[in-house]
Amino acid sequence: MIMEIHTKMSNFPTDLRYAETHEWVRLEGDTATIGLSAFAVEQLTDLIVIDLAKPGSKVKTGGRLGEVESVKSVNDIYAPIAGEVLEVNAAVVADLSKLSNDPYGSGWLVKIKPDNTADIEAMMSADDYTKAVAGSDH
Amino acid sequence: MRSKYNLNVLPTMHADGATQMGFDLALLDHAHETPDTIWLRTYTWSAPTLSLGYFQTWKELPEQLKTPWENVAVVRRPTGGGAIWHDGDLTYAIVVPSNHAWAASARVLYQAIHDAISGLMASDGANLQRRQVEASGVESGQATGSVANSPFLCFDDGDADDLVLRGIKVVGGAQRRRGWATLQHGSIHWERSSHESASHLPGLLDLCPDFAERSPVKWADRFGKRLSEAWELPYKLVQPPAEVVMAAHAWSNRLKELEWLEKR
Repeated sequence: MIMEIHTKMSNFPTDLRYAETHEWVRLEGDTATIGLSAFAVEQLTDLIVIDLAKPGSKVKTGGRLGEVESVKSVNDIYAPIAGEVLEVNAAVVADLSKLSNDPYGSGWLVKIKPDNTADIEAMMSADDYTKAVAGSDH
Repeated sequence: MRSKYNLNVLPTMHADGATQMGFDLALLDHAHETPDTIWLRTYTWSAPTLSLGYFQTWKELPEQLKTPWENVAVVRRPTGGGAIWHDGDLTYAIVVPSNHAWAASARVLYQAIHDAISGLMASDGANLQRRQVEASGVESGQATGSVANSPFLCFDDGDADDLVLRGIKVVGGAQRRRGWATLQHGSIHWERSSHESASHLPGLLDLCPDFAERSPVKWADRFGKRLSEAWELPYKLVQPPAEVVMAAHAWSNRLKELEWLEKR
């Protein structure tokens, strides 16, 4: 997601890694769960509809993982790492309030089998993401 | 201080829906290579056309919504929002690189463009205003509901950033935001259509019979210059780059396929 950073700073969980485009990744075993940061969700305001990559599809780092519409604006969601989509959170697709209310929990978006878990380590820590968010304030 | 950005304006084009959407998608892709350039194009439609919002796929629409439009040209936009009936309207597409302040958020870009439009409209006698929060019941930056709950036609819907005349929407917009740039579509509802499902929507000339500029194409020429002045950007009228023309052709062929209407 690409968006303006100008409202209150969120507290970003320290057990997650973050992308500049505001996706987060949690690695558990060989499965990576991906979602959108609370900050991104806050910036998007009213979420209307989301479309995510299908299970079984391969995604590349920086490739499109899905799309979400908000305020007549269709926003691309990018894959922060490469891998195969294992599962899509159908509950979020059916009810976007889960993403709005619990972006790090029940509002996760997809689970991926990473091609290379080292890609996750290369992503930003919560501290780095906090600085990046602050640095991009207009 | 001179802006580091340029405003490249393409000549107003009269073409079918797939060609127009193909050009816009090609320009959005091309913007990856032109981070210092804002692209503006204006166009009219060679046949009355219904453009669907990106998430309004044709096969998912209820039959009662489709029936009145079954014998007209239909295209799906890359941008969000509701369907627009392009029958005598003026459409614009603007591509703003993500590193420009106007692309910082959806609302900022809507307001920057709508300020320029309303300023130019005022000089011709139409006092367009942003829909007020009190009137619409929605705060700026908020839409009025989900795709399923929203009116099918964009001009039957209301958003705080719409431009209204005598309380009636005459300019609406929608966006596609990618990592490197944002495409904003806008439609200026010039005059009332005779189509049975859109004839209840008065246009600019219906609401302001004394509006000085009668020709949307002439108005479009002035719009680029107005944006240039308002945004303090060097104005350059250019032909579309060859690679954009080629990419637009490829896109338009894809957009003409039923598959594009039916799938995301």
